Amino acid sequence: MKNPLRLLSFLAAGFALTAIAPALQAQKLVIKGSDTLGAKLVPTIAEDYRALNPGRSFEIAAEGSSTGIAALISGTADIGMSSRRARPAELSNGAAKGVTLRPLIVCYDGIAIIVNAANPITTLTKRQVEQVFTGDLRSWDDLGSGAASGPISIYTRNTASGTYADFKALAMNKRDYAPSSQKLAGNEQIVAEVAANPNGIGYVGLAYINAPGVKVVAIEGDLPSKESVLANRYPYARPNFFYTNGEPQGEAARFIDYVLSEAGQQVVERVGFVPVR
Amino acid sequence: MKMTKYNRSAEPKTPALFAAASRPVFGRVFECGSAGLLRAATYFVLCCGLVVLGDIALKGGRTVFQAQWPFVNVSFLTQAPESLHVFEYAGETHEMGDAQFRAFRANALRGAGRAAEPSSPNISGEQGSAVPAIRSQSYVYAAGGIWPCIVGTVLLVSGAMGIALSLGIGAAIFLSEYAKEGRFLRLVRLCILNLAGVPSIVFGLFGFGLFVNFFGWNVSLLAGWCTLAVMVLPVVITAAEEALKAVPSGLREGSLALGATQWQTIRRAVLPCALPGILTSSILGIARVAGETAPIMFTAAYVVRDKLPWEVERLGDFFFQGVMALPYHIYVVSTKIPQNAYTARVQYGTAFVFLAVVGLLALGSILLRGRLKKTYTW
Amino acid sequence: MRGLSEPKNPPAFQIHKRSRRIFGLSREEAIRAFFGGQALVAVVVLALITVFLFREGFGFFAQQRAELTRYRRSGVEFVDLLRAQEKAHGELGRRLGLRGEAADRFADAIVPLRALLGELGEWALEIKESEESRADGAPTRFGEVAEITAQYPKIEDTFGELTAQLGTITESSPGLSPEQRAQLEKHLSGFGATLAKLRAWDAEKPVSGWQAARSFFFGRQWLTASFWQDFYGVVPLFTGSLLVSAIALGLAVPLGLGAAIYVSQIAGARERSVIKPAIEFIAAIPSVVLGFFGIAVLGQALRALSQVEWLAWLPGFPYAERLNALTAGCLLALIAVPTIFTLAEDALASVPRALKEGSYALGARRMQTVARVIVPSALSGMVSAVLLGLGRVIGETMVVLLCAGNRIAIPDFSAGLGVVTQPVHTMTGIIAQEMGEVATGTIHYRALFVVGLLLFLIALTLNYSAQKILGRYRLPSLR
Repeated sequence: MKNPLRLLSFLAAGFALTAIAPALQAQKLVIKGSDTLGAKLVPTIAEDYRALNPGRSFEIAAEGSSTGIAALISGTADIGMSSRRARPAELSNGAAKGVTLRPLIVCYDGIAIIVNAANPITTLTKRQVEQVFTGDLRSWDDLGSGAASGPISIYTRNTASGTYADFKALAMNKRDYAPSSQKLAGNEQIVAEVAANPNGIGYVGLAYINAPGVKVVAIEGDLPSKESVLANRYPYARPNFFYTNGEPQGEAARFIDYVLSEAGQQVVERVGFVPVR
Repeated sequence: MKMTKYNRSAEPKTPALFAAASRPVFGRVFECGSAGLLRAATYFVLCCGLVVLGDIALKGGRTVFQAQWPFVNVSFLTQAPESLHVFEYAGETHEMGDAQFRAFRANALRGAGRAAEPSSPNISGEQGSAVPAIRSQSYVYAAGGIWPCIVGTVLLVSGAMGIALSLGIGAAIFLSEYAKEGRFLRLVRLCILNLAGVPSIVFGLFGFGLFVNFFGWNVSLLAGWCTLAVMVLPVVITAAEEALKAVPSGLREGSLALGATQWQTIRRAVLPCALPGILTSSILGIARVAGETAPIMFTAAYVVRDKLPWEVERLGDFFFQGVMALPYHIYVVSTKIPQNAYTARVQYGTAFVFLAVVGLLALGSILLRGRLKKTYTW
Repeated sequence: MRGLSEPKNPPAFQIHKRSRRIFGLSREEAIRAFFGGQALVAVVVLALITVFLFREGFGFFAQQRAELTRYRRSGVEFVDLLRAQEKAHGELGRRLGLRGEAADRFADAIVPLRALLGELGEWALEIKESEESRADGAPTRFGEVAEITAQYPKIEDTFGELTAQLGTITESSPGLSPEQRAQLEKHLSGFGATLAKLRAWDAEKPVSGWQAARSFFFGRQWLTASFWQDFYGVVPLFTGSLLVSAIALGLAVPLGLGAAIYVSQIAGARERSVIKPAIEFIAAIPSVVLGFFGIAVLGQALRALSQVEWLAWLPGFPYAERLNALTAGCLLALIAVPTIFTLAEDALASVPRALKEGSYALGARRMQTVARVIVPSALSGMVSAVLLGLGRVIGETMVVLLCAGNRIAIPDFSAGLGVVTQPVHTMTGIIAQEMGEVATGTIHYRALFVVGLLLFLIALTLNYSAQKILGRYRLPSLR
């Protein structure tokens, strides 16, 4: 290869060829947003949908609910997954850009508090949950004799997450998290860290609680489950949304119809969320 | 002759620097001890590197290599990622990728004389029927392969290096051959050199702000190319300039003396000499571009993209699509999926493939550099 | 001499007398312009980074000033001053470690203040939010802040009650040690200062640009997506970066320099030809792979090591979190060693042989020569190597994002050397973590750009000083 120009011309020719190659007539759906929905549920439903309707294709990015709403507003996503409601600032931002954020509930979820399996504690009051996560109580000894001993290690999601904001609103009286909390990227990482740390406590969506090494704590006697969420008994229940720009159209509408159908809701239940019907 | 007693204390005193020489045992111990300590430090570093590489090679090799022909798990390298289903059937535990699982389930139900419900892989038999329930535990991204990631990485690297090399080599030729030496030129060189040390996340931030938001390209191949090219440009320019400077001026002067023009000199005398050095450095640049995650995390990468980059409807779409990339895939499978024995396979497998690709490039560059130094000593 | 033809010049070196002119330029000049254009584009693109970073970054300070003004004018700052008192009460309770009835009374004592805080806080927050969402021309609610400050007598009464309660607790708990009493006294005497601050607080005092800058560079809290108030203080992130870099260099400098000295002075040629490429190969390991290795293997291994009984004397051992500064620091050390090694070895190898030979001729042993002659003369190169290693480590993103624990708080240095086992967050990590969620042009977006700018300047300074010290200009990672 004596001439770099020759190499470059080869590269250019290669690109031109690949670009003119026969393209598949496929429908594409871009879904961005929540990790709670996008780490397990949406890829599974997408696979089912693809098996039923060959030729459809998906593009999924799940970095947090805020990214989904931001992408929907900037026009780079067809569906924005969000585990929280859009904030007024986001709605007005969207309106300023001509985007109407329309929410659609696809499933219900309960934010479960998990602790390490070796931790003897089984139940917490709502006040205790608030105190632990805001940093008022810093040691397991303060929670009474039924708990482990040692400093509490708090694992939370990061600020892009809808679960982060929902939990603040539902469980912490809108107060801020303790500065000692560790901000992890996804539900699975929280599960892994709590399972490895005997002093750990964290919160995850309902679909992620069946993992070895962690156990769910009852909140004033109520364990999160399909029944307690639907009956509104579990205090940290919340809906999960798909946001679209106005009414869903075309491929997005078809996919959302599938998600809300019997078959789709069976998948929702199998993954661990609470179906809407 | 009177024998005077040899007076040791009248000897000139050895300076303190070498005083220890008069106590040989301590000196030897100190020598061996410190040399041994330094040797231990060196081999400790090598050991740590070996532990990291070995762990990934061992566990990743289990996914990537197999005992039968063709000895490489080709399906891992040529399929898209899919979910892994782990289920019990007829008393045995099975693990299957999604497509295989659906086919298996359809067969099993057909074998039991029932029409399969294609939508729900979770069928429970009704009371009294002989159809066994197939309840599967599924792990996202834990089966299938990483073909789209490999393709995406190759595309990103080739595009970025294409831009960087064409701009960078031209710039280097100008700076070293044509430009007049002076304070301004030294300042430019200094700035370029210092930019080579700026963290990659700053380039990612710049690419996000400029290409994705300001120009409106969104998460696309083009934004990724430009961000990576800008990141590696200072390195390419400086390395190319060094290679050009290493060409002895005698060659240039001889060529000019024979009546060649500047461009003829460059093209026929200087460049052929400097090209091996430029290419070696660019291989190392390729290794760097391939290995970076932070710049592409928000400018070019997706977690899941079903279509391969060449399956586009319009030529323009090709440049404005996002891609899957190996480093970003490793980041996703490290943090977004559970950590257990099933997912460990795809985690280590991907890490091994990535390490192999980048490692081979780096190894190639190191060997080439060694060989070039031997042949091109002036 | 007929018949002898002139030797023909090969085509490449024929002298062209007649030249074409493209756009008024001869071919040579056209080629020169072409390369000049490429150089110009390259330089412009690189300048663009600097310009863009500065432009986006400096927009932050104006926005922060507006934000702080709103923080002040809506009364939220006033409530925060009061809230600091509640936090101090909680801290005191933790330090005193009361038990039983005294603890209950202590916890009950703060309830009236907390209730007052809740009420005033909601009010102030409403005023702030109404200001954000009001239409132009609509009346502002800032006048209501005067009513909030008018609550001062009520605050004073609450403080008085609190003092009385704390006094009763002191008297009725004979088991209190003198230090505890002293702490209580100190806490009580702080009430006066807080009340003075509240009295002196003025909602209309303007916020200067310098205060906005100080809130970033010296702010001790980085809090985003808060329902109350966002704070953009870079100190926790900066100390996190420094801590992780310190751990990394603490491991990498002795190892890297030691290996460099060994390879350049002691090792034989064959050993050298194996070790040098091997260490340079370690430099090629991508950082995301190292981050994955940290999550999968190293975090667990180090924590298991810390639980070993006969190591409990080490500061910070045993610890509970797998992802912390120590894990990240160890991996960063592995990244830094090849950089330090390559440059230091370079510097050591370029010491003139005459120095070494002269030293041997005078009878010095090998290690004496190394320690007293070679290392001092290569010192500038070794220092420069360490500085470049530091630059590499401070700029590393994926390893810290995955392995450092992501706790946005200033590490607790009261634990002494045990601070290394705490989770931290770094400047690079926060950019990578929050880049996806920010909308263009918001204050959060600009704050991330200022952090990026800070990293840019730090890297530039380190590189420049390293090269100045070295006296030679060369690329940090290539020969």
